[in-house]
Amino acid sequence: MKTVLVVDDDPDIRELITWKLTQAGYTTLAVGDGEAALKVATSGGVAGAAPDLILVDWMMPLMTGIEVCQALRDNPATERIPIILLTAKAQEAEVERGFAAGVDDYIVKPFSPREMLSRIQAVLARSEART
Amino acid sequence: MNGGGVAAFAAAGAALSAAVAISIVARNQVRRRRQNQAHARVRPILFGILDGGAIDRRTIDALDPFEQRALDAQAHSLLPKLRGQEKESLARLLDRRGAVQAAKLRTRSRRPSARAEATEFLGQSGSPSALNNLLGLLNDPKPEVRWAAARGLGEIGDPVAVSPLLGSLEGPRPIPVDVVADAVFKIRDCPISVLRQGLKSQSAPVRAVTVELLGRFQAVAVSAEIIERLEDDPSVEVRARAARALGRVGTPRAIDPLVSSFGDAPVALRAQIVWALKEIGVPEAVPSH
Repeated sequence: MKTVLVVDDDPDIRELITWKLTQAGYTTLAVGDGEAALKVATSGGVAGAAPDLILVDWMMPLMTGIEVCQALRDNPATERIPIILLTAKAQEAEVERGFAAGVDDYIVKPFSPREMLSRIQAVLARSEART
Repeated sequence: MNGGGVAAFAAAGAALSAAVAISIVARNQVRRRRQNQAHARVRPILFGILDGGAIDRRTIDALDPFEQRALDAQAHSLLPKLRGQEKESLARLLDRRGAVQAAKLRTRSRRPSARAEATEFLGQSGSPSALNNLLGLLNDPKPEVRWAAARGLGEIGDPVAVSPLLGSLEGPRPIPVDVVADAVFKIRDCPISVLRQGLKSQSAPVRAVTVELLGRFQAVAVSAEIIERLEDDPSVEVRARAARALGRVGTPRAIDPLVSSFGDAPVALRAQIVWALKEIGVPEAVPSH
C-alpha cells in the first residue's frame, strides 16, 4: 500500500485530500506546514519508511512548498521521493520555478480531487518504472 | 470605607473578573469542541456527496440544527477551493439547502460587504439561475460588488454575458480591463464575432480587452485585425496587448509587423514585442537598437 504525505495549511483541503486518498486505498499522513513535512519525510513517518509521494501546497506559512521541495531534493534520504505541488500560481514563470525546484507535477487550485488522484497515480507509476 | 475594606472590595472584584474570564474561555472551548464534533460527524456525508453520492434529504434532515449549520459552513468553505464535478455536486447541495436563494436576497442588502459576499457566492455556485442577478450587479455602486459580479459571470460561463461584460468597461462605473478579460476568458463558448466587433469600438478599454482575449483564445483567423491594432491603435496599452496577443497566436505573419513596430515604440510596447517574437520562435528577430 502506497503512502502519501499531504502538506497543506488549509484543514479543509487536508481533510478532503486525505479522505479521497484513503478511499482510493492509499495510506496517508497529513501535516499543516513545511517543517513538519520535512520531519515526517526524513524520520520515516510511516513504519520507518519514507512516504512514496509528497503532495505539497505552495503557499504556506513558515516554509513555502518550493522551499520544502528544495530541502527534500537536497537530502539524499528524500531526494527521490516524487513531489506534486498544489498551487494557485499557474503562470508560466511560476510553473517553471516549481519544476526547477524539482517537483514532478503540479495541480492548479481550485482543483478537482478526481484529477488529483489521476495525477498521483501517474506520478507514482512513472516513479515505479524508473526504479 | 477603611483600608481593609478597600482591599477586600478590590480582591472580590478581581475574583469576579477572573471567574467571568474563566467562564468565557470555558464556554468558548465547549462551543469549539461541539463545532469540531459536528464538523467531524457531517464530513463523511459531505465528502460522500462530493464523490458523486446522492444528496439524501432524509439524512440531512436527520442532522440536528448545529450539524446542519456545520454542513453548510463546510460546503461554503470548500466551494471556492474546488472545480469540476466535485464543485458541481457542492453547488447542487448548497442550492438545495437554499443558499443560492438566500444569497440572491442578500445582494439587495444595504451593506456593501454583504452584497459583495453574496455576489461572490452566487458566482462560485455557478448556478445558471443567478445569471440575471449578476448581470444587474455589474452596475452596483460599489466596485467590489461589480468585480465579484464580473468574476461570477465568468464562472457561470454563459455566452450571453459577453456583451454586458464588455459594456461594463465603460460608463460612470467601469470595471477594470483585467477583471473583465479574466471573466470573459472563462466563458468557453465566447463568440469570437462579438470580440471581433469589439476591436472597432470607440472605447480603448473595450479594444484592449478584445485584443487581449483574441490572443488568449489564439484566434488565428483574426490575426490581420490584431496586427492592425498593433500598427494603428492610438492607445499604447491596446498596441502592447496586441503585440502580446500576436505572440500567443504564434503566427509567423506577425513577425514583420512586430519588428517594424519596435522602432521608436514606448518601453511597455517594446517589452511585449520582444516577448511575442520569442513566443513565435524568432528571438533573433528582435531589433538590436
